[in-house]
Amino acid sequence: MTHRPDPLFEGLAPPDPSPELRQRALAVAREALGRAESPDIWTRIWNSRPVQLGWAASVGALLFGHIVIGGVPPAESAFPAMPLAAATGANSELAEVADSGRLTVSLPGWEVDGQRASAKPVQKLESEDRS
Amino acid sequence: MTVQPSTSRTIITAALTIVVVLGGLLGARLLVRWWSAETPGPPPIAAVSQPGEGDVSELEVPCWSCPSAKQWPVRFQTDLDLLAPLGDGAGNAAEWFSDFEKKLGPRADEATAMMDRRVEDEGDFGMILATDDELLLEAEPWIDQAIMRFYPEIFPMEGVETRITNLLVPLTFARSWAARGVAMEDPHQGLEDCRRAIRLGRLLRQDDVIIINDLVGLACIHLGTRGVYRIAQRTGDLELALLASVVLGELAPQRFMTMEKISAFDLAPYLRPDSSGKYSLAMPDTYLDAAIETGKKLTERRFFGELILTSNVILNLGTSEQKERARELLERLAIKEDPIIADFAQWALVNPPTEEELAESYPHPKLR
Repeated sequence: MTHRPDPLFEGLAPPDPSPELRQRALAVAREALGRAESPDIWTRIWNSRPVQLGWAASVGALLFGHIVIGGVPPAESAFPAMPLAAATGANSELAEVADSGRLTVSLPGWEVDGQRASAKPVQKLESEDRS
Repeated sequence: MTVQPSTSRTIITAALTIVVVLGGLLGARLLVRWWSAETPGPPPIAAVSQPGEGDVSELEVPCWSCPSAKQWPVRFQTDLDLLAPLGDGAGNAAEWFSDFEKKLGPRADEATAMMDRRVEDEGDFGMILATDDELLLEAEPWIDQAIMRFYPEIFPMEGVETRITNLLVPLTFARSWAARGVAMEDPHQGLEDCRRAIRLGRLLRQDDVIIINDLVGLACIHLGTRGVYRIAQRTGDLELALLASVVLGELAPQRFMTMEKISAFDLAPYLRPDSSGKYSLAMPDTYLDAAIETGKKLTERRFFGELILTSNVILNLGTSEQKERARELLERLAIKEDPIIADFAQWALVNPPTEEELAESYPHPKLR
């Protein structure tokens, strides 16, 4: 079934396309086909000198910033909190306060530079006691 | 240079990642620096009440030489509120004092400079600061706070790496306040200074984690109470002088009892380095028996640290039987309810001592 336009609208029918349109469209298409393929965004960034310089400058600035604020602080304690002998060892004022000497052993016969020391026989100690 | 689009995408992404990571790290480091350098603001306003009117006729002289004293905690038996009540400030005084930690504290240099400003007291309080020293004045409102807690909020427990504040700072303050108090013409103001030294000592003893903190606290109480005694003597306030003398009488027993407990755990007589510096332990089993027995009776947290360190050495250098017993002891401590003791014992189970730590921790008894 064909559709006949209402005779009332006959004067309002759309005009035919321009006869050159086909030729023009084909010419533009032929021209585009002949052009080299345009680079994608990644390639454009890759080849961009300003972007390269910007990246290098920012990395340099960040590395400089890291250097300026100094190295990583030491994780270890600066001074031991315990045991007591270690906590007081380096400072005479604290050693005086803590008085970390032993109370129970007189340690006769112990020598600092010797091998593992053992107490001298009591008899010998007594014979050396001139007090 | 011509590259494949996929390759350029990968390289560009990596390059951007480098920038983001470097920038993020820099930002994080700057934040950490800013945060650690930030000194706490002024402490909360606090009030310190006057000591209660205690009836001196009811004052007991604690018998530290009586057999029953063996069961006492190493604490004052006399109520120190009678002499110097704590303030009611809501701040933690440790926040301020921790800044002076040697080397790592943001104000460590100020502490060093302060030590250089000290002069010898004309009396017998030792090295003190000028009466109007800026740091001394800055410290005063912090001593009106009700608490001083370093562990574990400010200094986490990290075995032998556990940190500690610079104790010469509070010790110098206590000396300076006691000396300034005794030198003041107005006895009321003088007593305020001496009581401030006592309060500082009481605050230092609150943590009950590190023995040297406790002993410095005890020294601060000693200095302040000696000042109170002198002022009371000068003004003829015999009741106050009596109270101060009872408190002074409790100092030496606490020091001796502390050293008695330390001696029970001291391995120095049994540890020796060979010519290459490698340590070995030759300890009779009876010594371990005695140490374990002492450990069973411990009630105060600060002594557990020494017991745990001793067990740590035995666990690694003792005989096989001693090692087994040390492990049992540490495993028992590692499940204690107190997280500070439990964490430390767990640390000791898996961290053998280094030769350097042994040399530092157990100097020869004759070299102390």
